[in-house]
Amino acid sequence: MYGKTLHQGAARLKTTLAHSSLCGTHRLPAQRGAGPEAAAMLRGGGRAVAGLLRRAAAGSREQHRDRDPGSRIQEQGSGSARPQPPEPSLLRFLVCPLSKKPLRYEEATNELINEELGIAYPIIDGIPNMVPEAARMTHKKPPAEDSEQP
Amino acid sequence: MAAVRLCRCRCRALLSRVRGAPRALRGLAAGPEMHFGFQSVTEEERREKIYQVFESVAKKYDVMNDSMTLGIHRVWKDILVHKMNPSPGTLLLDVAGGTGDIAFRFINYVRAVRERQLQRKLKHHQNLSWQEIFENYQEDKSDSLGDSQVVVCDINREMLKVGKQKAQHLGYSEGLSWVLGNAEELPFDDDMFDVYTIAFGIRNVTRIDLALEEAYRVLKPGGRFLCLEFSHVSNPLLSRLYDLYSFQVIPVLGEVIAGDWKSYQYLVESIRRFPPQEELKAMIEDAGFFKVDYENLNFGIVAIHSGFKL
Repeated sequence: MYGKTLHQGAARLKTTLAHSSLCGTHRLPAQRGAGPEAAAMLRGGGRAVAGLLRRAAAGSREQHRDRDPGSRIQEQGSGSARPQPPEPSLLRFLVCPLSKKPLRYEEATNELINEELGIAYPIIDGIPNMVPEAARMTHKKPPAEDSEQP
Repeated sequence: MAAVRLCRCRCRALLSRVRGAPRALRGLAAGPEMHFGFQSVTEEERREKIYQVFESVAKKYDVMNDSMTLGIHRVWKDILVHKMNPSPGTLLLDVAGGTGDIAFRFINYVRAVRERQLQRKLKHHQNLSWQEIFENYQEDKSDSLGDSQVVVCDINREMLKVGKQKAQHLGYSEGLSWVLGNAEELPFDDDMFDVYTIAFGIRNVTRIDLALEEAYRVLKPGGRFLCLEFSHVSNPLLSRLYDLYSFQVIPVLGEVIAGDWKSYQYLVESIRRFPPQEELKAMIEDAGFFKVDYENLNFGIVAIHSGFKL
């Protein structure tokens, strides 16, 4: 059923993970909820399926301990980078470098969002990327690698 | 309804573009000629080139530091942290902190101070009940830093990656955070940090005045600005020996150890182009700092500038 809506590689990935005892079907509704962004990430994941499967198998063991559905979705999509949520102590310091207003941490996409200006700063490898060139506009939906000069 | 939302989004985008315009203009318009070592480049080119320099040297950065300075850079960094003399509970922002040398030293120092504090507290307590002793041991485990924190900020992802790996390898996890950010536009709110350090980084910042203003902004009133940087040697004989060493030995070391002549050529040239002690002191005063002072280490090869936000 899900193979129709998602990319072939991602579907293969999901069935493999579904066999592993740790990941169950309870995760899939969460994926549907994540929307087009998750689909884009899963498409990216489909390209590197083999390495991804290995990493996902190792990662899902760890994440079973974490019980963090957001990062599990990320696990499948982001390929080489296993996203770690930033430390809460760091979050209380960070503000947007442009407007100096506080940011909101978005777990689904692992980004820090500035509502006012409509931009999102990615968090890669647990290190928030607070350079304006790396931020993406949240009302468009370009891939995170695009550099936008806000 | 959707149209209104779209309009609002466009306005927001326009607003942010207008905000960003002065910055963009500064870069895109041919821009004032800046220096990259002894070459003359535009501002954008300079940022790009410096980013590439550090991207390529990141993995061998520490090894090169040791071999170029014959290990003396460790002493310089130790002196910087001793000069800072942080007490437990201090919030440090280490800009251009890349591989984390200053951050680790800060953590070690604060841990040592904290241990001494706790030992002194224990000595004063006579006739402790078993309950109190038990509580003391519990505290120790979670309070070894006494709420001190250090945030390492760097503009180069490779340097931060190397730093993070080092931290894991050496076992530093508490009180340490990593952020990718631009020193000229720090992602921190006003009046946040107790100490701001920039060790061997301000030379690579394209707009030093902006970085100094940002430093002033993020420091709490009473906060301290510390800058460790290569500077000018006034003694003529030493200056000649230093030049000889810099231009003949260092790029060769760079080629042999890191496989990168040009980056280390850039390094020694940028040291020559950097303003001397007095000029940097004036720039720091311009940013609003008081009690600005500098201390020469090794006859001026390195200088520590210090200023307070009062």
